[in-house]
Amino acid sequence: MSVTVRVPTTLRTLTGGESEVSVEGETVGAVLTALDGAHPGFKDKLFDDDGNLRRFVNVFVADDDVRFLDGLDTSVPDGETLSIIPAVAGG
Amino acid sequence: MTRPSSLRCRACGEVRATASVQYCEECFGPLDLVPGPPGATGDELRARIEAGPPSMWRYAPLLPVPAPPGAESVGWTPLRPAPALGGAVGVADLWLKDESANPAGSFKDRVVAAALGRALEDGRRVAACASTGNLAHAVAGGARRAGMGAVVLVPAALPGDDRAAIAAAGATVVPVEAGYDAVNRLAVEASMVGETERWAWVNVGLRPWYVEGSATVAHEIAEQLGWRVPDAVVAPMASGAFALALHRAFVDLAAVGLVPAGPPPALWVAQPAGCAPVAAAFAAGADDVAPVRPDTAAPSLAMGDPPDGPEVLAAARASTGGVVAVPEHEIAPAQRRLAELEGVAAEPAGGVVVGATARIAAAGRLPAGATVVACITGGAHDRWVPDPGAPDRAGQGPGRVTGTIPPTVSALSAEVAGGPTVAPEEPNR
Ligand SMILES: Cc1ncc(COP(=O)(O)O)c(C=O)c1O
Ligand SMILES: [Zn+2]
Repeated sequence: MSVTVRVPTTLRTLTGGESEVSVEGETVGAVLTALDGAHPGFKDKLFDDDGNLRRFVNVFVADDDVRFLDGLDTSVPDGETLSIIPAVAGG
Repeated sequence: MTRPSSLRCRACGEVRATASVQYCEECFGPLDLVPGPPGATGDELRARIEAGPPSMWRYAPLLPVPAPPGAESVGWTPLRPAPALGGAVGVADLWLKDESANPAGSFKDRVVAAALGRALEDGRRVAACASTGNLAHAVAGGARRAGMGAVVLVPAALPGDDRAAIAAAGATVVPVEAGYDAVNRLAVEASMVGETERWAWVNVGLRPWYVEGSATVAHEIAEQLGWRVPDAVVAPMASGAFALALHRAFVDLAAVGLVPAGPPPALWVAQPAGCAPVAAAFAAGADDVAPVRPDTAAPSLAMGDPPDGPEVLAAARASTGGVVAVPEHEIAPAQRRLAELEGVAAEPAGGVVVGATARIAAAGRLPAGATVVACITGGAHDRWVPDPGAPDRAGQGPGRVTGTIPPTVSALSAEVAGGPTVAPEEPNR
């Protein structure tokens, strides 16, 4: 179960500059835990003290915002892409 | 002289002098500009403003950005008394802030001017955004007048005429095989990497400056009322940036002594019922805003997860205003009423604002005799239809529509390799 994670600019210091990394996991929570295991520091940046995703962190599985799915319990199919991006502004 | 300011993270409070990204590097929170003291206050400041140009740039002493070239036609829009509409909806002293008078027909000309002023200061030469309407036209026109290139990302489903109209305004239009949310996401990603990182993504990387352009609507309302604030303002919201900027600017006007000390106007915020997450939170007494999937006849207000939602909610409550959902079937009739009674041809957001004003009045939420300003943020879109007989814009590369791309940054860079045509060094006006 390998998942591609797209990493935003400011967090690439944690991945040695890589914009995409591969980790294992079947849910969003598991993928992010594995990401923090492989590249320590992600959990601090992405989660608040209560263990929830920070308000301005958006996580997408393919094209879907996980807040419209099952949040951290959202399942991530093998080979899918998970994107971490700052809250979308738009206009 | 621009006003000194610093950037502060809305989530964790971290302050920094400058930032290369629009969000906090610690916690991803958005950065807000915190204005410092202006060069003057009270009567002296008022005199400087009154001696200024008839545009949003008369408020330069209050703004943290310099004007870009070609922005002297932006702002200083009419504040129209609306006795007929006021009579019809039950507001004796109703005024309309008519943003359709801006060059591309909406308040977005102001936010784009502010963003481009900052962009040029920062050496950026290409303006960019994701948009299907008001913002797209403001970026195309603002960039053309400032001598910059313009790139507008649109969902591939946008009709050909709409694409052509944006291209006719001078932009390179890039259709993206994705829905509007995903196109916006591509804009965020493109603002963070490679060649496209150097573009001026007006409402992404430049968002802290962009929002300051909206503050000038509040400045004008106060000056046009004889340097006082109204009792209530009614503003539409999508992201909430406009409504929040108005509220903050009214507070600031009293702080710098341009209007008498006192509370800011009651902030009434209007959403279409088909996309009313903040109105729902207001009605429920909640502090959090639960995102929705938009389904509304007011496309410019269709943002289901508004980034400024909680702040707008707090400002509406603190100022004893509120957030109102206008039923979808009331939007078009309200738009027609506005046109028939006051001669203002608005896009659907204007219908939402008029509908909300009527509802607030009917609910008895406005004190008798209250001065109420309804913000008509955008004009009707028929003005955008490309004019086949229009003279060529001398010296400007014409806009164009590129091939349709998948929603990836690499596809975007490949499609517009080397950047769009950038007008010669000197803007031609
Ligand atoms: C005409 C009009 N009114 C209001 C808005 C909402 O602005 P904001 O996103 O700042 O809330 C928009 C934004 O697209 C608009 O085009
Ligand atoms: Zn922060």
